[in-house]
Amino acid sequence: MTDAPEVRLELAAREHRPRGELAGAFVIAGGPPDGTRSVEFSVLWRTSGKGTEDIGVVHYRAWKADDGTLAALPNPSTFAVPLPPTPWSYDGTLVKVHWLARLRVRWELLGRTREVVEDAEFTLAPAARS
Amino acid sequence: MSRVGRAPRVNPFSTRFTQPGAIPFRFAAADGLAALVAKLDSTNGWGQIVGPHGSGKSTLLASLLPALSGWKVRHVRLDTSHRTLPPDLFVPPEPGALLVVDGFEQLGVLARFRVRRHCRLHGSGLLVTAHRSMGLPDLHRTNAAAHAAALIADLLPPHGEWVLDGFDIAARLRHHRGSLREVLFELYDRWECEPRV
Repeated sequence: MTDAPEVRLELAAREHRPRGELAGAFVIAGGPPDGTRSVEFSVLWRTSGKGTEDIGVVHYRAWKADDGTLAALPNPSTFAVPLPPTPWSYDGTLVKVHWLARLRVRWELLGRTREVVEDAEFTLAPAARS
Repeated sequence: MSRVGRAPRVNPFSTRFTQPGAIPFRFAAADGLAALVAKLDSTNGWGQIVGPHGSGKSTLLASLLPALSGWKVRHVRLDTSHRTLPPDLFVPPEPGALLVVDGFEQLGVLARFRVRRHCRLHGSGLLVTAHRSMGLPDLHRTNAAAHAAALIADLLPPHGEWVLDGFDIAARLRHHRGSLREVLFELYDRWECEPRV
């Protein structure tokens, strides 16, 4: 296979409350490509702005060829990830807080590692604030 | 509307899009990277990249370092909050070693002398970046003016050209003494001023 696999990541909702649950599903169309090394799903927050940027991963799961778990990857896969109380989504001027679910597929082609990343953004905030 | 809980709008001039490594260095010639590697090889790994603050020295290094496959590179990055060298820097290096110090002018005169002497004694290369000449062979002089407009155009998303209305890139670069980083900070602020629906 030479083309990047088509990856879809869908969230059941885009607005979430602290300590809520992020539910959704992902699918790799046609299954993981030949030479797939890993499929990684994570839920994280990151900051953006003019200065140093931070990141926090609240959920991570990987299916790898090396340890044999890739063969057990359900495709499509569903997920339900508990969310923490903070940090809340924030659209500031100097700093912003983004929440996202991320799917990363890495595969080898002609001796080089390639990857495709699909992000789905959502917000985390108390009901009265959104 | 409160900014808390609102989905953050992406600012194309955020650090993640503009930091060294996120954007490739723009060489004047198509074979610019290969020529630079050859030039460094011809001086046995001794060279300096000189340019004003924010003019692309670290961005050039980020593009250059992966191409230095013939060297065993040790990369040290210094800045105003980090002005000391790692304690293990002065152990005898392996053959083919290349010490790369980003921000060489952050070191005092004695420390710079010590680094140069160490590299000379052990036959390793020394590549530095600095705001002014450090007396090493010139590898490259960064000048953001040559590529600023093209780089900024690459950063803009579709329909983002409005941020450049009335904004004279060349004049702002001159105002900031050649620092593209400061120009990008200005554009970040302009982007944030767009009225939100």
